[in-house]
Amino acid sequence: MNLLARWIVAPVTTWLCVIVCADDALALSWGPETNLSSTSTDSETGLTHRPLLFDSAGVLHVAWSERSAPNQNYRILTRWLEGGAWTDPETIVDYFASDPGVGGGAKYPSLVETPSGELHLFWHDYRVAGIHNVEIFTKMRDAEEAWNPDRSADIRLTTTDHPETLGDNGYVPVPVVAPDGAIHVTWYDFRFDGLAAEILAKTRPAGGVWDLAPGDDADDRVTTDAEHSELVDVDVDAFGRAHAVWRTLGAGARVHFASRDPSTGLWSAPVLVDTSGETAGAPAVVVDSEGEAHVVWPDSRDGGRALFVRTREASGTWGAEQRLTDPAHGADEPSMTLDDSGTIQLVWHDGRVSLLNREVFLRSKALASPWDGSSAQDERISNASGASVRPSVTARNGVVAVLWKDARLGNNEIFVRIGGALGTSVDETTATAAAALHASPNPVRGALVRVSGAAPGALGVFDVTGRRVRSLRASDGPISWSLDTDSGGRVPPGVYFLRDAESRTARVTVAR
Amino acid sequence: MKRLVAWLACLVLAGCLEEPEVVAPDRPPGTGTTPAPRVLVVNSLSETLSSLDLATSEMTVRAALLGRWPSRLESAGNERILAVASGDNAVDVLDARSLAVVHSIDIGIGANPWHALPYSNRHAIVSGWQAHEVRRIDWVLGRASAPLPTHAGPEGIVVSGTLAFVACTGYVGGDEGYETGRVDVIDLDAWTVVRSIDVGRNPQDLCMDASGRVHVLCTGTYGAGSKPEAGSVHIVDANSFAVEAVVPLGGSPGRFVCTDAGIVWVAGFEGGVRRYDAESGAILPELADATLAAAGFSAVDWDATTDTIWLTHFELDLLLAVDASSGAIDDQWIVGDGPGDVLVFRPEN
Repeated sequence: MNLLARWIVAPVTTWLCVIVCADDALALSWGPETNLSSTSTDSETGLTHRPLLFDSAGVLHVAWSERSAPNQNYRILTRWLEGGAWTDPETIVDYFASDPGVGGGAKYPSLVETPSGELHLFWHDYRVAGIHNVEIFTKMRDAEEAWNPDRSADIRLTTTDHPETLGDNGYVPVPVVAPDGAIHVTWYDFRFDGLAAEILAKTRPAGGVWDLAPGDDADDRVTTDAEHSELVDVDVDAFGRAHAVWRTLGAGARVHFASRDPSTGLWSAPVLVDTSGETAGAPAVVVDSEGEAHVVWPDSRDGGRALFVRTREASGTWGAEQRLTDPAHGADEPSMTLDDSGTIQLVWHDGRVSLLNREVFLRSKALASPWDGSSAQDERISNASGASVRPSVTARNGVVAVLWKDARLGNNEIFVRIGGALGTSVDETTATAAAALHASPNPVRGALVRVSGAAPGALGVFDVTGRRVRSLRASDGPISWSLDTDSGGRVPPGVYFLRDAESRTARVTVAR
Repeated sequence: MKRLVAWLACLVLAGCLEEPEVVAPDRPPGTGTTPAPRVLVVNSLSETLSSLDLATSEMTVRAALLGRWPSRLESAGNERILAVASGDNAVDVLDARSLAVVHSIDIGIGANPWHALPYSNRHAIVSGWQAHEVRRIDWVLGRASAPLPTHAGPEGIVVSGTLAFVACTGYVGGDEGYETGRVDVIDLDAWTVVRSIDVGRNPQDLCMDASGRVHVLCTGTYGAGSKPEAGSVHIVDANSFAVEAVVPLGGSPGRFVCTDAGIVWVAGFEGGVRRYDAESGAILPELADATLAAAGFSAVDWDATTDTIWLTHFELDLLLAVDASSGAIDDQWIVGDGPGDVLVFRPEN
């Protein structure tokens, strides 16, 4: 961590603990496990890290794929939790009986939200030529609008055709949104070699459109080596730099990392993250508010399998590897998210209960705290009689939602569980999320921030040192902050905290 | 290009590849000990080999690197192990002590080899799933002979005397699905297909029971298609080639093993672990441990010395030891990512 970052971290975290961490951040109250798919056919999730999100209004959205007759192809469904109740399952990407392929369809959906409130869905799809040309697709819905399930709303993001590889296939897209609204999506793709995939990426610039020109040039190639690379995860920092991690096979299974420079649009040369060559599963990455990229992966160096973490400082310097879990537990499939407070939420599954009965666990890491190498504070999320796997996590305003699949009912179903400091049930917890204090857009580059969810009464704006810079008054409905101070000037760029009369907080970043 | 050149050379020289029969060295020069007994696991996703030392129960998760898309393992005498690398179109011959690759035998571009089964002290027969052929390899010298065409999609192989039974899945492409499942019978001396036996949909694996009958595991269509077909076992008389019985297993069984006790153990991604009586074909009651009925089991082998069933679970990355008589789980180990095959390697003293 460089000196500037250290200087910023200390007052921010001190202040956060005054206004946010009065209660132990780990002491979440969890609602029940809710089966969202609830059908007699298999449902699928995982690997994309983003099958669920809280939108800017605090509504929890979930997307998954579900298998159906006659060809066991998959379609994509969604539900969202609003006002304490789940909506009915809604098909947002369907398949036709005439579509090619068996066991294909539309799979591995992931969701992101732009600062303007658009939801974007990404998935890979067999509709073009079955297993011979799996392509990456996307579609979007405007804020407050409904999804359009018609295929006319679907955009084929990858447009190439490489029959010479016997499978011009792109798999498992993972998207992320930069602070300026640019969308980066990464995936692994066999277009150059039918035996060894490369990591590819594509960016929709803020306010721009996707480059859909036919050919390979419309996509960015992150890896160019002869080895097989797969299972990518990506996050973005406050400066818009995308940071990707993935697994490479060839000389053992290894974890690699690369960053995209937003000013040039170029990806850096991949660097090796793990030192053991004993990687078992796919890595995950999250970038905290100080620009530090935390990479977590399953590793078999100590026998069995354990999660390891390695942190890359904003300066680019890598820290030491640290083991997070007991190798005897066989931890696997980590996934992470960053809460508004700067807390990293890490989920995975392991066999501490029974190796054949994996359960999903969660560990929280506050911004200024080091990674905890013990399991003492782990939260057990799932309680199934069978294995619970493929977990993903999202968080907003102190509410955490974890998604996974398990076969406790005889076939794979999608389960979700929600925890929050103030919630004791799904409904109450969700209501908390929906009513949370919220600032939009965030980060803000213009002249106005809209604040919703504030309790009637005083609403303060504080800088990172805890100094009140603006006093506002909330009544029913949203109010606006003009980025001004009580003394009349405009606040300088930086991080600010809003606190309402009920001590609920929201963080807002004022960009240049 | 390198592989193409080698393949063309192989065709030209095919007639010269029939080396005079020699006795394979049972032990390499300079070694005087028998390799340690192990249970080996192919980790299909991480492309590694895990090794459990049966004397110490010590598991080495990454004991060796394997080729691309590794599939099945077989013992080749006391000193060698054959590991198929489907993505490399190769059969790798491993030293049973060091697990180092001694030879990597090129099977030909696009062959997508699936199973390499030794049938003499130097030869093995290899199925080429995508090329619809089998080849004979010399695992001592590290050479492959010219291909012999079979029905579509050959996978598992079992040998009875001078005959090899090859499960031809009939897989002809993603959209067309599976044509009729067949077992091609190959005379290993004459190196020709002498018979084809119609069996169930998508036959993938074979084993031979104590009375010499060939059991054909037909995985079915994974529930897909307008007329989905569930998994079954067709039991074939190895002399008359007649299908004597059909065991309606259901689900999508993937691998099985015949034991001397007359019980056949089946591992399936769907349907979990099941058993049936080899003689009568009667499906036996579910195992008491319900976790064995869960989906995701990818491979099975049997250790006659200890009467232990060894199973791998693909998604949970586990190797399990099950007492064959009681059906109870004795022990379990974490292995590499995506275990797809298991082999009990017990060299004879």
